[in-house]
Amino acid sequence: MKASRSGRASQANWRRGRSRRPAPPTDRRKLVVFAGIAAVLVVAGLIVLGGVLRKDDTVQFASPAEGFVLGSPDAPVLITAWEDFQCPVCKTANASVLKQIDAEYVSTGKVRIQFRQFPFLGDESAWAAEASQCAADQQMFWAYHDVLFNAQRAENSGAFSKTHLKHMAADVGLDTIAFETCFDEGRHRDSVQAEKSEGAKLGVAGTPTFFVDGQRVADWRDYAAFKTLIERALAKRDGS
Amino acid sequence: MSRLLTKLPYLFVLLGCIGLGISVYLAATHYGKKPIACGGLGECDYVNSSEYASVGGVPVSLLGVGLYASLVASALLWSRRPLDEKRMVLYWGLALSGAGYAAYLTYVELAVLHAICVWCVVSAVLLALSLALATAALFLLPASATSAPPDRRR
Repeated sequence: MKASRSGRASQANWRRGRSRRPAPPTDRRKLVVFAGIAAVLVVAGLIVLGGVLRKDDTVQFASPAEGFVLGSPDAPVLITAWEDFQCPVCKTANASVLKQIDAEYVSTGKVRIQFRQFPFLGDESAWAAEASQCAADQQMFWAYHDVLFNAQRAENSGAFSKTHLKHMAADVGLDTIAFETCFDEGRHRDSVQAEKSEGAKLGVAGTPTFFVDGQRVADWRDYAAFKTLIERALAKRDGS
Repeated sequence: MSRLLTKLPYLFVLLGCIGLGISVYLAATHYGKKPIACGGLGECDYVNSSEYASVGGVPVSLLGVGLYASLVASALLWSRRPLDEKRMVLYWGLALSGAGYAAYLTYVELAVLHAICVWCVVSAVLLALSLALATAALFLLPASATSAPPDRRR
């Protein structure tokens, strides 16, 4: 009975929004601190985990470059790489086989790699190719090349929209005014298409397509076979 | 004022359901390999196909489904006892996690990708609003009424 009367009183007090009883010892502050720390740990964990688990398929070449050629201009063997910046397999090739070749042959002055444009996957391929030619005008083709491949997303999803291509030029450190003038006026539109036609004449139908001193690489994924072609070309140069 | 604040969990259920709908839609487009309806606002497909849109192969939209489902569940739990300290703080902690991660993703959109996904922005606003209101409840609800109102049946 006593308990019931006290219950009614506290119910009334609660309804009035205040209690005459002394405030019970509250652990709200402790709870908030605990929940806050837990929340921060969850967010930090997600950010760190996302970074750690992101697969390392970064395209970045170490060798010096001149124009569209990576490596020493005096290197005896030439690898011609026909590529499209939107082609995901090209990105894989750059992040794997070409990176290995760079470390093993290009950096040692035995091989040079020449990039050739073969944009065939839509508007954004053509825009990326033209933009990379504008970067080449400023002697920054390979830096821009790496940034383009690393920014690659689904085909024609906006990754290489004109706006993004300009942002990337700024990120690389290009003279943005000169770059935008070149890009907006389509200075290299015709030369890119001419290069693509040249590739088609050589039998390029898709990307990536590689040639070692003019000899087509049948399966670039087979690194041993790729190396054999390079070694054979080197031996031929040594013999001649 | 306190009376009004005790009604907040119902608003949180509503906000959570909107967020849940957005996350389910984005997860469905991801797994169905369908383009995202962006209404001409931003570049949803670009943002959601970036390497920041998944954590260890799990799409962020699916994490969003889990977060919003937890927010709705905890808001429903809170609505049954609007002055329950633990339930209030549980919701606040979840909202803080969600808003924190949404803030990071918004930074990535603006500073790294230079592109906005309008659904992600709406979701971030929902989470920021939830966190702000839950924080207000945490500060303004009377400390003396930290437990549930005494039960009439007792």
